[in-house]
Amino acid sequence: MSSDLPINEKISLKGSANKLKVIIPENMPEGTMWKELDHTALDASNLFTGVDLVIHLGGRVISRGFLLRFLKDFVISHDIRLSSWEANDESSREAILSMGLNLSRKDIKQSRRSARRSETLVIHSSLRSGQRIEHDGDVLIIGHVNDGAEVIAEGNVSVMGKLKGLVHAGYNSEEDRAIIAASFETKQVRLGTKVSTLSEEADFWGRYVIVSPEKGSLLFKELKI
Amino acid sequence: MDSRVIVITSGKGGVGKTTTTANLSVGLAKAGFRVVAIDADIGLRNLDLIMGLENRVVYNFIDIIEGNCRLQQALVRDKRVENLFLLPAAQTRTKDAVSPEQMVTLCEELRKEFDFVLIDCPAGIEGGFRNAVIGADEALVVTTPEVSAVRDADRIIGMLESMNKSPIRLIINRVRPNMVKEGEMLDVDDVLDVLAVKLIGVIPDDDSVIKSANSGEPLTFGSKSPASQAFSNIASRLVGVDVPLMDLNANEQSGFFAGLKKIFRI
Ligand SMILES: Nc1ncnc2c1ncn2[C@@H]1O[C@H](COP(=O)(O)OP(=O)(O)OP(=O)(O)O)[C@@H](O)[C@H]1O
Ligand SMILES: [Mg+2]
Repeated sequence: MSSDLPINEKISLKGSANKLKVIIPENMPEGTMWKELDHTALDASNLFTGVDLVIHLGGRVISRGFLLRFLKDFVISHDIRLSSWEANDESSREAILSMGLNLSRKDIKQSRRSARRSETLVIHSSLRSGQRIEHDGDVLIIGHVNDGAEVIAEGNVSVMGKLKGLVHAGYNSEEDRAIIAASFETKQVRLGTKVSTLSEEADFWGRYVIVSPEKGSLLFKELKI
Repeated sequence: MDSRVIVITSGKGGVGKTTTTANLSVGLAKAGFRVVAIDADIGLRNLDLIMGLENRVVYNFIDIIEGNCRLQQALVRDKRVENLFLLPAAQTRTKDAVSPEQMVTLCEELRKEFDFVLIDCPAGIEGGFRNAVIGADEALVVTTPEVSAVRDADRIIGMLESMNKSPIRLIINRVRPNMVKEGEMLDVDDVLDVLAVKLIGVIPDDDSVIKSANSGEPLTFGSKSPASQAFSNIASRLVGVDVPLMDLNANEQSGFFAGLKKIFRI
């Protein structure tokens, strides 16, 4: 499995500049996959609007029939703009090209160190329960992160509204990152490899809070600007 | 008047979608509108029972789609009020028996005949949800004031928004007076704070709802119970009547309304 597959076996979304990558775990059974695609599209279609999607198939071996169904059931029925495909399997790549579809130019493999981090992903709405975004840079949410919503970012995460869902900043990153929430109301946050659980009794609950790493644990500070 | 197709939906099951569909259908028909209630909960036929029409069901909406009968034949007319019809669900089929396109076509056909098409949605987000919702313009989301129901409602609202349903309005059902804010129960303000959609009504938890379900006579046929009044108010608000707030002080002595004071402030 290539390294950019998600840790959990679910379809996940990863944003970069003006593209959004839909990562389909290569071992997910096809029946499950169609269902999950439908759910993903319903859950996340506000994130899909105005963005070009890249479909990441990993090593999955697919046919022209698969592509046809994909276009009909996912791309057309959810009114999606598709930019390109990523496939590791040679016959899958052949099938994609033979139908006049694009492959991503992903040969430009960035070594993690030298690559410039992606731009900030700005979300102009609240994330509702079940909505999940992943991004390899910073994420700015101009809205709330509701209970049941998730944000996973390699960079920093700022929430301009209430943070009630799950945020994981500094995911997969060795650098220090921070989480900022205008109203901190969540029982768990993750920063890098650290997890912290909190209770409503915490004196910064509901306040403007910054969470940052400090001597191997997480420091919660009320932000007073 | 333009025909309106409204889906009644929820995240969590058992929060009152079918009860709401039945009561609003009757309420709107009594106000003189031509109304059809569709039971889109395939496999779990239920709306006919709540409306007391179960003995008159011959065809169902799959029969129409499959061409076994004409639309007019499948519609069950309610004899208690003019202009109220039910389109029953099939009890024996799987949820895949209908395609989204067929559902849209059906809604378009019904639009020609009715002022209101109310769709009782199945619980959850599996297959049936999309079909039930796809032909609708507007949505009413029903939730109870429990934390888990509200979280599930949030998810459904996200989906309805992404499907461009508008307006999406909220009904908070089974609200109890003297509801202490403890544990898993939220008050109306809390629920609205989370969901950030327009509230169209609050329905008290009321035994008359259960009695009416058992007798197959929706409350809005004439009951004077608090839940009946709440449903009638929602039916009025649906057609743009600005229902004045209940006069809570006048009912102070009843105790019940005193408890609802905060709840009905909106
Ligand atoms: N306001 C209320 N007060 C008391 N009981 C209620 C109220 N609303 C609904 N109920 C009861 O709750 C139960 C579930 O209601 P209903 O069948 O309308 O829910 P539903 O959302 O349609 O369920 P499902 O998801 O299974 O279709 C029924 O027994 C009903 O009588
Ligand atoms: Mg029901």
